[in-house]
Amino acid sequence: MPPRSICEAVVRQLWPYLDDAVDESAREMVIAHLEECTMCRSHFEFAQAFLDAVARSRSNAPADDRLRGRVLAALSAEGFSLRT
Amino acid sequence: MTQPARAAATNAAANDARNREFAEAALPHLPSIARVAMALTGSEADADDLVQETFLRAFKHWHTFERGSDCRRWLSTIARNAFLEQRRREARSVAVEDQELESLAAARLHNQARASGVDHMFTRLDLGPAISKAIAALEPPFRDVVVLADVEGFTYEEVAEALSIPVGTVRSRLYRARRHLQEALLQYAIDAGFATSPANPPASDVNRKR
Repeated sequence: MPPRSICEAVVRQLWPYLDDAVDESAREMVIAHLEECTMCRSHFEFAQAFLDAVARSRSNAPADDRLRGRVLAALSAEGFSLRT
Repeated sequence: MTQPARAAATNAAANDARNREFAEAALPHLPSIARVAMALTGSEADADDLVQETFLRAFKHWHTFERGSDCRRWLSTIARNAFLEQRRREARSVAVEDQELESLAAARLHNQARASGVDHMFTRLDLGPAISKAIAALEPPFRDVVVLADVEGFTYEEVAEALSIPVGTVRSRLYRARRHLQEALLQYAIDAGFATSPANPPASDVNRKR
């Protein structure tokens, strides 16, 4: 196997690192490298920004009206009513 | 004889007995085990390795062989287990390589985003509706893991438990789902004319390699 650059070795850990699913030695390797390599750091920051955006999409996801209607219908059959 | 010398002599005698027994009971089944190994692996080289591994294991665990029972069956079981273990190991290493390639893909996608002038698409743009749409468009196995892990914040283990799939499968699907999402969102950002700066040439080692 050809030797890998440290950049490649670090970037290969991108998702596990961002998910906090790497062991201690891998984490230290990534942290030390990101301190000094702005290019790799920018990759990690971009990916983290993506994850943050996906997590935020939860709050502004449109309510699924069909599902909501179905649940409310089932609830109303049990005597529930929505008073606003 | 001193105590250690006596113990050594006893050991040597026990070893002789074991060697003789093994030679008589186990080794004659080698041709049969070779056929089993060939059937399992489908290749002569792999079959030879498996036969060797089988007899090494058999010798190491000879004390567990029930005297008088069917030695050929015992050896076949060892061969089958060794084969299955090896296949699992290989599947795992393929999965790990696969997952690491997805991480590399994320860096490449970032380079594309930068080159397309949408480097800040996730911090400066409201992609919320586009993200929801892109998630909905994923194949169900990928959609489910990304919704549970990245939208709802489940850990890998929690997703694995909820969907009754192995943790390795969660990771593989999740990383792949992220790549599909990133690709879709990059395309969306470009199509929507969100490019904010002239394209910068990508300069990453990781990108140049490919």
